[in-house]
Amino acid sequence: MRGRSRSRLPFATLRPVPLDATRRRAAVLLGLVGLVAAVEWVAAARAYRSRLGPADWEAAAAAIAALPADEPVVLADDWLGPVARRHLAPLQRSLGRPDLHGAPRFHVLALGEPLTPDLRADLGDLTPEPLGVEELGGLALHHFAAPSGHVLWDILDAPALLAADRAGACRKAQRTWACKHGRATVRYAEVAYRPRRCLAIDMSDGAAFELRGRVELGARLRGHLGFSDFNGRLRNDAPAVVELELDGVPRARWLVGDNQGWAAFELATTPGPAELTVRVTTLLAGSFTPAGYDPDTRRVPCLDLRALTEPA
Amino acid sequence: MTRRLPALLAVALGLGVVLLLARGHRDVGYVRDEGIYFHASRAYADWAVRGLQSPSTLFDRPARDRAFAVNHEHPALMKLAGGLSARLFSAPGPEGQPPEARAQAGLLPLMPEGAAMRLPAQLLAGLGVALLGLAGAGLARPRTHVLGDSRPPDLSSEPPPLSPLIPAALAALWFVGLPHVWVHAGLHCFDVPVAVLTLAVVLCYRRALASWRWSLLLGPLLGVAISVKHNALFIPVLLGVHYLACLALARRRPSLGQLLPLPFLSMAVLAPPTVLALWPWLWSDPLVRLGEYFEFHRLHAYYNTEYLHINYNQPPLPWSYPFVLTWATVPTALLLLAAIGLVLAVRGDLSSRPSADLPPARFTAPLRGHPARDGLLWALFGLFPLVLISLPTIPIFGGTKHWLTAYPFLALAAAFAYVTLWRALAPSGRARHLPAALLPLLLVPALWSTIHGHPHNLSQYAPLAGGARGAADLGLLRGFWGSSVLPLFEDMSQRPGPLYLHDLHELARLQYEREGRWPPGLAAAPLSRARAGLLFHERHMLSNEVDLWNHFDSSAPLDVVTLDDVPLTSLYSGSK
Repeated sequence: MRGRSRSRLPFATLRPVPLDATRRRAAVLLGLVGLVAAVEWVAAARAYRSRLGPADWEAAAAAIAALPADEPVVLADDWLGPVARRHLAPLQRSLGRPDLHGAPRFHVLALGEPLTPDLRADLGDLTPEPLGVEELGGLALHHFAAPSGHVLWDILDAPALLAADRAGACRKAQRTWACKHGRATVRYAEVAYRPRRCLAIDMSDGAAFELRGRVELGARLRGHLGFSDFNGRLRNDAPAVVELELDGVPRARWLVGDNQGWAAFELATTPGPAELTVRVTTLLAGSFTPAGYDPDTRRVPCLDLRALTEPA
Repeated sequence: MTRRLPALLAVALGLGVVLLLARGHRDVGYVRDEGIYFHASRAYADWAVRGLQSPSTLFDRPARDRAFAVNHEHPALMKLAGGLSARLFSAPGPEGQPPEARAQAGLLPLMPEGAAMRLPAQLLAGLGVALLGLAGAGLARPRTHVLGDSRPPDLSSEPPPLSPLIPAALAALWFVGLPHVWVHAGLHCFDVPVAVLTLAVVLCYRRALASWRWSLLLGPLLGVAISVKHNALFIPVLLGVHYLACLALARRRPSLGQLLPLPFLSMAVLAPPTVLALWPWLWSDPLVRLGEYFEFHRLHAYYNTEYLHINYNQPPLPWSYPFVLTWATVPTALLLLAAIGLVLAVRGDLSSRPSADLPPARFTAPLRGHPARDGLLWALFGLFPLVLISLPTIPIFGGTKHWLTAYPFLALAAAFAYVTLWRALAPSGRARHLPAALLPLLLVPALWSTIHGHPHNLSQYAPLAGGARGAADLGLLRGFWGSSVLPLFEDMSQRPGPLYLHDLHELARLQYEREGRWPPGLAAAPLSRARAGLLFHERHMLSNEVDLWNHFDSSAPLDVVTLDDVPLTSLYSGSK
């Protein structure tokens, strides 16, 4: 057999010799490949296992239950959301928050870094102060304070407001105002690939949806407008207009496009009661398709608006 | 070492792969595209069986068009093979269902209908592994590869420092051991089959340059490859580039026979009728229908795909996409070895010249005696699919599956590097066992990844990318094909219907039903009427997920299928 004759071959009986340049290069390259492979063994051992077990979720549930119910608990790792909400019902309360304003204390449940780019975007110009960390097995609960006031009033929880479009008053049933030119519903919506709980204003082209009523104002009115969903954003770029009036006087007007994502706006206000009017006008609601403009396949602007106090 | 042993290893690896795929993929849910391919396969096979019983049916245009109109945007071969495989091996569906909603028993009922339809693609995957094993074993030969030289290696003058089994195993497992190759290899789809056929055509071309017999096979084989998927249309172009490079590097005036070589004549003359014969849809109005086919793929829709936390659904698409996804799904040591192999082989190819005593070139063997220049072949076929997908206007619609055709050639380049580097190092004494002993060091990360990721390997990522969890952190696509649903069947059977299917294709659901696997009595419905709903997680699917929250008034799923904590599929339910 040829294999057996191998030991008689000259190269197999050579003693180790000093490496020439070719052999040295080969040794370096093989060593490099082997080193990377060895690192991959270690990485595989870390990557190919679950880091979270029932005990981790139980510890997280106990830690969250000990927190005040009005302090938001948010998840740093968005992708973990479905599993986390399955185990931790209180996370549902903070799902779709407009941002982290109006929360002087908040808590972040994280696998790793707590202040992810998304949470930093929600903080905006607020600088959070770390208050401590609870290690909960694979998870950690990070506590923060932020120099933000309280929420005095939220458009999503204000059933006393009256709604109208240009054809007259709208009827309210549960979370929806039904109007002649469309409807507005408090619901979850996907805006810029993040979930937001907001007032989805599904009106026909050029129609304005208006809410008005007496509210308690603080130091500022802070709101957001974004467009849902991703297919609609792909097929329509027309902006929407948000207008605010206080006691019948126009105070602010913003033109918002879908490339701004979840666009924040603010108006400084004098604390105390005031007659507030919020108007959102959808310039073009439909979709541009290869077959032309389709007014019935809508891209929906979604609004949130809150009155906030000065930071304590 | 006998020359038969590497062949036996290659065949054994191929058979092993087929057996593992045939059994293991019963745990892999049906992906979206398979639903329509199952449906088309039944239509095509019905036509073929009727044609066998009454050959005049084959020429009945309305009947033929009715059968092949289904999914006519792809060639028919794999679907026809799948349908005929089901006619042979399908187990009957459950009693009590209407005949059209129940799998028919095959002649030798061995497996569920869907598994039987997947079998031809799995056999091709096994063939690919065997071919890679054989081609890899050939790399251990100590001589310079010269086209048309079939003499056995002269072991007395330059002994092989490596057993051919090592590059054979490395090339075969480099390819099929990858999680994304493994998952696609078992599906009733075209991506691994066309990768295998591309390899087969290239290996055949290599022989055809020095043999008229292989040339005559080359044309029909290319036709078969094109009949699997349109990726194969690029093969002759790349082979042409290789051939011209070989002529240019020979530094001598080409003969007339070299300018009109038989391998290319064979492809030009024999491939088109093969495609026509294997795709009965083209038997009527072939030019018009071919035009429609090209137009469909030229104007293919832009699907949604997440890449580094951004959802892309319109051009320009990032050029780095295929390169980063390849790094994220193929272990880096294997990629590094392939890159070294390409550099070494191409460098060698560019510097080698034909010997002075070349036989006169004939058109039947245009490059006999020339250096094989395999490195150029591997580089062309290993890099072109990635470069093509990286063009900003090429639609991205399926992640890594679109450049799987590159991987067999990267596998061969890696095996070449391993052989060349060890040969240069020439280990002696006990160290001569190092090449075999260290092979697992290279292959285990990929195999670990694939074994651990099964049956969710569509969502699996390489160790240095951090696996599925790392990919979720990086913002890479997850499970866009609606297949990770089987673990939810038990929960689904305990919930009141109807069920919102989300990205599970209705035809895939029907396939489960035909095999008696779908929870009995669980009907599908739009979300507005559903009492439970599925959600396949992907960045752009969030809009569907919030619809589920709104509908069920709850954002807490009842059950979640995960891979290393990463949600792949959720089952939502509510009080409605």
